[in-house]
Amino acid sequence: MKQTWLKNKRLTTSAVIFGLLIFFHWTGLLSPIESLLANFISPLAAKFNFFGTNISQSYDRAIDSRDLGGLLKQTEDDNAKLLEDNARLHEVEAENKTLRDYLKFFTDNHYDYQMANVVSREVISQVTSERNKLIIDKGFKDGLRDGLVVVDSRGLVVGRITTIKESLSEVSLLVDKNCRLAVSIQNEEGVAGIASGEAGLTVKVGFIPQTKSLDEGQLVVTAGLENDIPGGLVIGRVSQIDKASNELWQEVIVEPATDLDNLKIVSVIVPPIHSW
Amino acid sequence: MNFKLVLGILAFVSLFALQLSFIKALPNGSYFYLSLVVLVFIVVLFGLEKALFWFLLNGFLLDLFAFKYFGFYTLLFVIILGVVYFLLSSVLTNRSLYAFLLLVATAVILYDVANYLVFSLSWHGFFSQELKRLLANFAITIIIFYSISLLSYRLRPVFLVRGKN
Repeated sequence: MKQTWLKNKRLTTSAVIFGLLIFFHWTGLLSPIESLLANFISPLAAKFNFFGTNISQSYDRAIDSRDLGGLLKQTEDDNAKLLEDNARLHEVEAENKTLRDYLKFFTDNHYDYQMANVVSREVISQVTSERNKLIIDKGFKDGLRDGLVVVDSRGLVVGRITTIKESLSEVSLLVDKNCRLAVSIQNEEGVAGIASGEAGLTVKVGFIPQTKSLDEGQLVVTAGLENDIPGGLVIGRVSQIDKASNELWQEVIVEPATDLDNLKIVSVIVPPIHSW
Repeated sequence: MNFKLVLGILAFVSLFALQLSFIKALPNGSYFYLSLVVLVFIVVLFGLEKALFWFLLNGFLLDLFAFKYFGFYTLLFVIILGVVYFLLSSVLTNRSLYAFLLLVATAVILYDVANYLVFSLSWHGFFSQELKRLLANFAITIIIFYSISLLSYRLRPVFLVRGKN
């Protein structure tokens, strides 16, 4: 038992390997291997995420159905059995539909885009159980960059890229405090504000002048004031208006239009050289 | 030997992908650290030297998918290995379920505390979440422990029986 860390040849070798890994990473010499590994793991991880999300959706449905009456529960059970019978076909069909929706959305709007698989529902360094970030399998080698907006298959805003690597990107969802977007209220001239995530649960839009009269249910869209983000992309609907008389600005709470919990494939809108 | 190593690496990378994507996507999946629990079992069953390779690999893979401070997770996993091995060799006297639970608890707490110290500004909600994480990982530990006990003699207690002569 006289072996020490330094005397042990393998341990010393491992320490050297660790040092070299860090050194080669910072000098960029490791990036081909990092890309290779990321490209190898990402498809597998995307598949795992797909199955995990399906289970999560089924779980959510089961929880929802518990609140309804017995008849509805019976119907849900029957439905679940049918879904189980057709599981594989259903998954393929859903994926196909998503891809077709993307194609239609981008063809209609003439946007350049980059589709990406969700690799993980959380970033590695996340210390809370909030699900307000995603990792996607596209990075700057695919033409993406910080700040680009991410949408779902119907073109509804999901969030924006906040950190990027060569073949991976971190997406902050709308409910994350790091996701800040210039937005406007549809059909309201001159009403613009900054939307940002609130406690990983909802979206708050601030800096709206007190003089503007707003109603619940109004549509909140991107304002098009930022270089990389086109205007008119739907974020959600106004669900609450906070209009304190002693404040200079009013705030509204927005309910995101898309389900942020069950994303499998997303799309990043890539601006052309001459932006919007 | 090399074939076994390649197979082991493939299995471990698959386990990593499972942890990163599948488990995280499940309801309450963020509380489960399957790969960390498996690593603790590797230390106990195969010793420090073999475990070091898998700890380094896991840390490196985490660094690949993390967006800040490359090397942080590799270093963290080496530290976790050091602490777990110290407990195993100097404090614990057997390989009972309780020993595994203590080692897993140590590893989980070290991992989370390091993450909070480096990536979070607030400790709000840490203790309640940590309790849930410990319980979730204890559940995995119990399942793995009894599965290994069923399949192998490595974790079964050994009794010395006095001979008749």
